[in-house]
Amino acid sequence: MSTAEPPILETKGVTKTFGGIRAVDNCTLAIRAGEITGLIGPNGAGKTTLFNIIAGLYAPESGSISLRGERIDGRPPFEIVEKGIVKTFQIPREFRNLTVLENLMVAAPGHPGERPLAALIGWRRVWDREDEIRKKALEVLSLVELDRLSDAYANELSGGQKKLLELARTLMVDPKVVLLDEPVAGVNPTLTGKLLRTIEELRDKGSTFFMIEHDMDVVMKRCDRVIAMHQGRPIAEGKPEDVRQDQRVMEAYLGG
Amino acid sequence: MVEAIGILADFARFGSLVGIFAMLALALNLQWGKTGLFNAGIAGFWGLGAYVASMVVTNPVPSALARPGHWGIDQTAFPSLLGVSTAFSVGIILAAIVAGVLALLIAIPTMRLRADYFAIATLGLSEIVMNVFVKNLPGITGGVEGITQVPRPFEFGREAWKTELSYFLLILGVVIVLFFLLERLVRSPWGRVLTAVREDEDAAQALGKDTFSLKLQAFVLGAGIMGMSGAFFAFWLRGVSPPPNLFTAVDTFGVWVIVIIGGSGNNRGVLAGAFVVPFLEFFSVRAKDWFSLVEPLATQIFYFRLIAIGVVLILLIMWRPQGIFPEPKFVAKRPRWVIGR
Repeated sequence: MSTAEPPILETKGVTKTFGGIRAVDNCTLAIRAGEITGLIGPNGAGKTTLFNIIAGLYAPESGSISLRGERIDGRPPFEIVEKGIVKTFQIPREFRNLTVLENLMVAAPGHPGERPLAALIGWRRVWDREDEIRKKALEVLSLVELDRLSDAYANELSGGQKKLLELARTLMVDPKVVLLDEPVAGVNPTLTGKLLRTIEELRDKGSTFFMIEHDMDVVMKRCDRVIAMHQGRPIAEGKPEDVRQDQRVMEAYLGG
Repeated sequence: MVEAIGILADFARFGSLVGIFAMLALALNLQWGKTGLFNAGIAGFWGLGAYVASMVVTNPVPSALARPGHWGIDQTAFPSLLGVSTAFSVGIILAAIVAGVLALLIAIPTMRLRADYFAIATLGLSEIVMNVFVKNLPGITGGVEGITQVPRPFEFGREAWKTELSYFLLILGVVIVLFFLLERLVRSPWGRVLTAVREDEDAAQALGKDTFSLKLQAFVLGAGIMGMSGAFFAFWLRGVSPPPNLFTAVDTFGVWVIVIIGGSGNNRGVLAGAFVVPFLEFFSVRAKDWFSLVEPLATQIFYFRLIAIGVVLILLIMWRPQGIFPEPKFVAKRPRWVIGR
């Protein structure tokens, strides 16, 4: 990967305050396409807030966010998803009373049957698209090895399976960039391995991941690049091993 | 024989009311059961529909010293179709549209509120519409007197049972058609995405769904159906009058009871539930004759329905919180017939 290539996702001077707290403070960073970029930092560094700003859940007070050079800040969440950025939640937010398969199918973008009139009339193309989406959903489910549970209610899954479901749901959107908020926190080692292998496979196929993670083992082994945040702004970035040995990062974690 | 016909008319009249409440409950099931919208202003949409339809099917009455008067349309303006004035169809459609427009106006500022605040907003706005506007616009709405002498689509003069039975069959037909249309709607990808909005709106948004617009669609469509139900109610009652006689929060809660008892999210359940509230009313009015009750029980029995609803709700919440018929497992289902290539 040449460093000359423009970044896929870029934030410039992004700021967001909650009352007197500057959760994200003049934050400028860039994500390269086709890589897994880790985002680390002590609690309260502003990592999740930054994700929420990128995903359009909060509007930044100043600064800009661009995807492949196109400004996306200030747009509603659904438009940002249409542009190709999808976020998972730190705590899985499955649709409890939909089945696992339906959780994936509902995530498919641009379904003509999601308009009431088209649904009422029952166009053939609506239901043909529905069949395509079902096929794709089953493929994604077998990728994350949840296919045996496709007809179970999502609330019957274990915590780790819900994390897999959350990842699988984002894959239905064919995103350019996936924002993963602690994808393996609280997941057992076997499932963690499965989840991370899935992410790496997708990276090798060209997807870009931006991942908040506290587990340093995971960050060291799986991330291509790491950005460390402290008090709302990046303090170091680069190869995982370099960032780990960075003096400022150590101070941030140890409160030095 | 005469008595049997009287009973038939009585039951047909009761059946019509069941159908009218079934329409309301199906509409609430779309809003709450599927989309999770806590509409506590049902009486407002219902009442507005009833008033609009009443004005369409009656001649205008000018204000005078002794009577408030109300708007109307010169009935000779409506041609007859198969012996029935087209005023009724126009009234029903206009009732649905006006209630839908009211829903749109209410929804735009309040739709982003969380469930309980949305409930308070809809309750307040519907009370304002009925108590402040409808009640206080003599010359337009008939003020506190309301609108009387609203006709029915089929009148058979002295043979009351024919009038009641034909009206019941009309309502039955409307409820059946409405049921199948709504089933088709909610068992589609649209119904599925509404369910996703109900389950977790933030997550639906994070997956790229325009949840505001989806909620708006369900709310406006539901309110339109409530307005239509209001039109049928006005014809059924042959008149409308403002709160506290009609269209109060008690009606709203009655529809909620129907949906909770029948099974939120299940249209079949809601139809079953629609028998309960009108039946308790029907029963408590007639119980004193059926059981030859004497005072004071003959009067008190009328309030039996309120106790009964309370008991039924408590038992249900304890033992079957999902209602008599729980929500079906798979939302979207390919319909038996599709059109187009």
